[in-house]
Amino acid sequence: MWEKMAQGKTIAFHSYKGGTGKTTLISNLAAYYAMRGMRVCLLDFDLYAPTLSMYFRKQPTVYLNDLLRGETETKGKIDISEVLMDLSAELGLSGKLYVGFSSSGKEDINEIEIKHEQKWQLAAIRRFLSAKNQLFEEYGIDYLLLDTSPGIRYWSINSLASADQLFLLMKNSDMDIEGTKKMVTDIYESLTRFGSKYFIILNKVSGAFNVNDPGTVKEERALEEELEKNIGAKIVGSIPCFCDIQFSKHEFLFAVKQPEHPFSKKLVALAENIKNLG
Amino acid sequence: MNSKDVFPGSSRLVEGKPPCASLLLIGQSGVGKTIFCKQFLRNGLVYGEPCIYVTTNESPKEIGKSMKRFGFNVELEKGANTFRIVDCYSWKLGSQGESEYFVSNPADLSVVLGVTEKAMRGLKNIRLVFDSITGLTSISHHGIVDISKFLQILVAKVRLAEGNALFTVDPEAHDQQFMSFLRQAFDGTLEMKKEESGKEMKRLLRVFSLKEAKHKTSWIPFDITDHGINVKSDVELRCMMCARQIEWKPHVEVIGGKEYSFDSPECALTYRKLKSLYGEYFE
Repeated sequence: MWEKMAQGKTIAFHSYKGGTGKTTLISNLAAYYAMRGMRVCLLDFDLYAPTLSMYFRKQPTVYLNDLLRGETETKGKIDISEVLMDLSAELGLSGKLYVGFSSSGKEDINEIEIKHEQKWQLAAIRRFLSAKNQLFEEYGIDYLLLDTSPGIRYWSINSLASADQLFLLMKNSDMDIEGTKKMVTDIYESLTRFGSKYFIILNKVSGAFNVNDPGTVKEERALEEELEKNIGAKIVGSIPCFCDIQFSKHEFLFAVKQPEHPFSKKLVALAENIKNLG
Repeated sequence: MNSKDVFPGSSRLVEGKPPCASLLLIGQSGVGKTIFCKQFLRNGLVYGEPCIYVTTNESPKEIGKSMKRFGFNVELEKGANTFRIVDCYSWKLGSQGESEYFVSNPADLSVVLGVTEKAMRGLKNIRLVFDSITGLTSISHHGIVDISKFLQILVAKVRLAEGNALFTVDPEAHDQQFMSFLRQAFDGTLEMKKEESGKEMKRLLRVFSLKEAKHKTSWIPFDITDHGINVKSDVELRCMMCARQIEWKPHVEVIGGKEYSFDSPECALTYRKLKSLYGEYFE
């Protein structure tokens, strides 16, 4: 069991392109931290293409969208309680795992994407930040994890700006590398001036069948070093592509359900690395 | 609710983190003392502090039910040994009580003390609620010297455990001399009262005294909501970033030559980040 953190931390998972495995990794990470006794909140800020409710197979009645449009306000005070589902008991976690889902309904996505003007969006950011304060103050959250939209979009930028640590997920492909480099220049470097720290997570790396082979490990490290130099950010995790996860009909919290699986071991190593970043 | 609060509203009433203290909570019946105490314990449980509830007014079952309102399963907390109920109530029902810390004869102060000490044994950074002094003294007639000795020992034990404690009392049930004595016995005093104006009833809270802390002394309104006690602010200043009402002192920063007030340095930082990304569109 880990000790409660002195101060909660906000972490955002982001990527240049979709399909990098953000939702799978962040959900597993959230569940793993909660399994270790931490108080964790996972929010679906991929507002343009939400998938967290599908991943957890939940049909909430109140979404983050309701919070952003101010419908969870009581007496002029934002309240995120109705949005959160406490999944700790059903997943058998010793800590706490609260999840806030966003709506995949067409109207809700349109509203975020095109319906509202700048003023509404600014009010929505304020509501989110007020809710974020509530999470740390009232729920005593250790880790607030934000699953963001890929690319440079309004709500992914807002999520990144509100986070302490930013994790860029990428695959080892030319397109991902170039896109990631562009995001680093356009967004991340601007945020580092204010103390934000960003790191790379390599996901779906080839060679999963050989994870313990010394030659593969050496090759992997050489690849990481080259990428770190190319992108200018530290790689904190490298997760191989496992066919049984990639092609499973519904991967669900492998790190908790199948701790002996090599994916789970890699995920645990990543979780420990992130924790040790301070 | 604000878990950073040591007691409900402390961030609004006390500057900085209040020191560890045993406080007397004075208020007439029905003003909200018991719910205030439960919220005080709930805030402790969030931070993993062991909590002890000495009750003369409710059964452990009733306490468990009401703590659920704050999202705490007392059964689980009891299993984890972080929540202990010293039951000075169930004897009234003629039952033995299910609590490991059942007090069969609360009229005997040494028994109450013994069981409470047992519940506190080996624990540090505890939170203790004694609800209530009025309930205890109504069971049997104790002289002021006996009560004084009893409370002094308990306060010393809480201090030794580097804990925080709340002791409740209904002033209408005691004479002036007893109340004056109580005010002296603790590190500080919180007061609650109800005020009626027209058809409305207002609840008010104040810190009457608190050793080694800078605090407001004015009466601050509070509500009892479904989620617990909500202590309101006496000033109307909102954070430039999250738009929340600023509780104590604003965090002020000059950005682009203009002075802005924020709820916290974190809000100021987020504002700066968003401003750098969106430029003039972010105001």
